[in-house]
Amino acid sequence: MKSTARARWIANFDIEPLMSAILRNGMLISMVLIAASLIVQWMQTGRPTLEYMLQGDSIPELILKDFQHMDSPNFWSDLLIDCGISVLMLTSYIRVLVSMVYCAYIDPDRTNLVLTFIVFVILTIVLMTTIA
Amino acid sequence: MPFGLLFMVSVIAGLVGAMTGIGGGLVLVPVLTFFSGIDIKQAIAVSNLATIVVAISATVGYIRRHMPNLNVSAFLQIFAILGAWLGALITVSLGKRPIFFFYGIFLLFSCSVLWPKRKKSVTIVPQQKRASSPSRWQGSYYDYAEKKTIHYRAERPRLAGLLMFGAGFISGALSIGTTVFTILVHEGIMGLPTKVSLPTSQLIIAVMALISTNVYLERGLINAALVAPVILGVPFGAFVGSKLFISIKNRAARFILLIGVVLLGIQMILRGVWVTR
Repeated sequence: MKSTARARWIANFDIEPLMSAILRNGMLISMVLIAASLIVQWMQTGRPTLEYMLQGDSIPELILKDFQHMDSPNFWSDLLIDCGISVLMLTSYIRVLVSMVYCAYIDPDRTNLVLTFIVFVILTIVLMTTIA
Repeated sequence: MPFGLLFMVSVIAGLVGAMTGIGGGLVLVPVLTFFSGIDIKQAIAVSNLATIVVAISATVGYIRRHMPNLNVSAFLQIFAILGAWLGALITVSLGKRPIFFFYGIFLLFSCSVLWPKRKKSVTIVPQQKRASSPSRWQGSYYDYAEKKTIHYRAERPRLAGLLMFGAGFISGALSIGTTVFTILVHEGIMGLPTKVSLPTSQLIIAVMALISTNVYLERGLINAALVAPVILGVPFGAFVGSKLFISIKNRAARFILLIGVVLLGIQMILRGVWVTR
């Protein structure tokens, strides 16, 4: 009974709307964070211009290094823009992760799984670690 | 450059890019470097970020309508991201003059590809049914305009993979002509129909630009002063442009813009050869 329900769920599952929702929400959250960063900067300095060069060997490092300067007057604007850029970059990364899970468990396709896994590994090394 | 002016430049880049079908990066980088005096590496870095936003926003609509071929994109994006990674690594280690020179060369090359298409209207991709098929290199979609199912087969995937490495390389290095080169590979080499190649290319471009953006981020080349106006301005301009291009004649606009881009390309080559600052 349970396996029939699962089989029906798998047969009806459509990956594209899920991917579309991930991409749309990721982009919107990112743009809201970047706009919020501008507003915070505007309120603090009277100018909506951020005097800051984003730098980080990985996405976690980009965020974590902001917390080393928590006493800085620009802490919130810097943190918000770093989070905005991170969310934007993670959006496509999560899309690839979802594709991989789909190929592994929902609609098994070994070739696509291998191809997506290679992309996922490259992205993980580049975005999440300081190896590359 | 003040925020308001940067935002307007970005809106215009997105607007003309969408209206003429040549992409915002082709306009954004030359304008930022020439009229604002911004470092070319910073301009390329921020253009890559804008590419991610535009590619994602385009993909949202396409993917919901089952338009990209996910099998083709899964295969080609491996080559594309490796090329983009290498391209970005080379750009961050080069001096400004060779970047100006090569940017100018590829600007002119992109224009030469687009020139024969200047009289064609921008392709409007209507809703269609699922493009991916169980068979890896085959697919089909229902074309609402022609009222029939179109079957297609992607040819020469290995050659296309190698060429996508090249497309990724140029995209990562210069953030230029990404869509043009990717579609050339999809249509010219693989023989994909435009209604499949355009959505599939956007899926790949989003990941390709992501890799190169990370390289620029590592080297501290992403200027926050540019990020906000460009990321908010280019997609806004592209959205307005995509709504406007249906109601106005874009052929004349594309012709004038291509002439302008050719002149900018020549200027960039000259700057790469002679100007030392």
